[in-house]
Amino acid sequence: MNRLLMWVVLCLCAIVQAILPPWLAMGQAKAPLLLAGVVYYALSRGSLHMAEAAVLAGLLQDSLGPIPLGFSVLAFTGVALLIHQFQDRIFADSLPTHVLAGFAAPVVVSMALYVLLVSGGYRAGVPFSFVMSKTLGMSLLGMVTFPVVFWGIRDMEVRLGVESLRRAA
Amino acid sequence: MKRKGWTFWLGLGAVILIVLNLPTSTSAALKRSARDVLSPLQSVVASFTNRLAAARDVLAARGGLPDELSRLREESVLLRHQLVEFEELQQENLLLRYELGFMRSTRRLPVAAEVLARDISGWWQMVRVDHGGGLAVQPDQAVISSEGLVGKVVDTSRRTADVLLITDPACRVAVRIGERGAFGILSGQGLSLRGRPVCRLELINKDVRLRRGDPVYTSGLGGIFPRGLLAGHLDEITLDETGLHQSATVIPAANISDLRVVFILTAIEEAAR
Repeated sequence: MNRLLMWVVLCLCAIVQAILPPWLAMGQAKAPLLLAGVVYYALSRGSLHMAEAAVLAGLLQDSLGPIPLGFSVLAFTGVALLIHQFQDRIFADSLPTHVLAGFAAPVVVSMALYVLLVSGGYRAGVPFSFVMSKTLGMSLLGMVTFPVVFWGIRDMEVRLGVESLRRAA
Repeated sequence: MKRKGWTFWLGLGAVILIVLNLPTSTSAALKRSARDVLSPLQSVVASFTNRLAAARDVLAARGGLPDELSRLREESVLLRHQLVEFEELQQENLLLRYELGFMRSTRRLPVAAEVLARDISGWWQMVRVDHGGGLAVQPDQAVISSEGLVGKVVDTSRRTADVLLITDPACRVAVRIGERGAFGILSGQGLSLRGRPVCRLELINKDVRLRRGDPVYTSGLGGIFPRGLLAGHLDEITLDETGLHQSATVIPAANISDLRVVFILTAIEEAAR
């Protein structure tokens, strides 16, 4: 149930992220819903779940866009591992943590993707100013969307009884 | 415990390495399969959001709707009349081609497609459309909207097609400027600082007199985009640093930021009889 819910949540995040209009004035930044899902599982689950969420979210993002398969997997897994290291040292359930994660995680992902895409010759002509404004836009959107996504997943888990199972485990 | 940790790291590393090094054909097939699996769900969400947007438009128009309806009726009568004339001309053209020995000609049939999503990552200027499984939709076909040129198909799956917009830096279109006899290559510039989609036209002969607002049409050179499609209008015109050429920014005619339905110009070969 726990795993099935994770797959459903990440697929929903991918579909909604794809349909949401980009923030044109901020380098077409998109609300990082998939990344929010990954960070949620990195903060609230064990290593295996975290890795599964990161790989699945990366595959979804790469499949639904022109990014070569594996680039987002690498970026999402890197962020998930980084955040997972702090799981026991931070208040994973508090709003400031979600807002801070929403600001920091998109910076790491967009920079990692920029380096991968430019070094692979896929987006050679993209000016750095575009990347900076995109990163800032994603971070601002992340600060708003991360708490909403976290609250949404947690609410679903509570309703389906997954939360109590997790705590018992 | 330590061994379990090593197994996890090795497994994760192996998965990432395998995914990154998949052969191009395999990764493309995987991506297409994922798109086809998710496209019905995307289609439901897209049609819901399109209905919402349509309802918003109706509310915003309010009193203007009767005027709009009467204008569209007039336009419809005019277009029907033009269509009859064009069909006659097409027959005449086919006959002449036959007389001249050109046995085959290519006709472009527009296939309507609903926009399902935009590029999920925001790194490309791209939209995904649902073409309904038409076999005639293939890469390198032009895509238009009711206002003008939108882009070209770059990838297709069973139900969907990825359309690279003319504002993407990777999209280049051979164009001519109105009736001024100037040709050039239009390339996407992404978005301006104000978030407005823009293109750029460079290396235009400095002796050609250009004016802001001049229409830019596809020239038909290159084979992908048929001749005469409205791509946009000239905006800022500048002289290069060398003083030898002019360049200009072009505002696309199509509303690139708010696409809902587009038309893919599929190529159908027909023999002259």
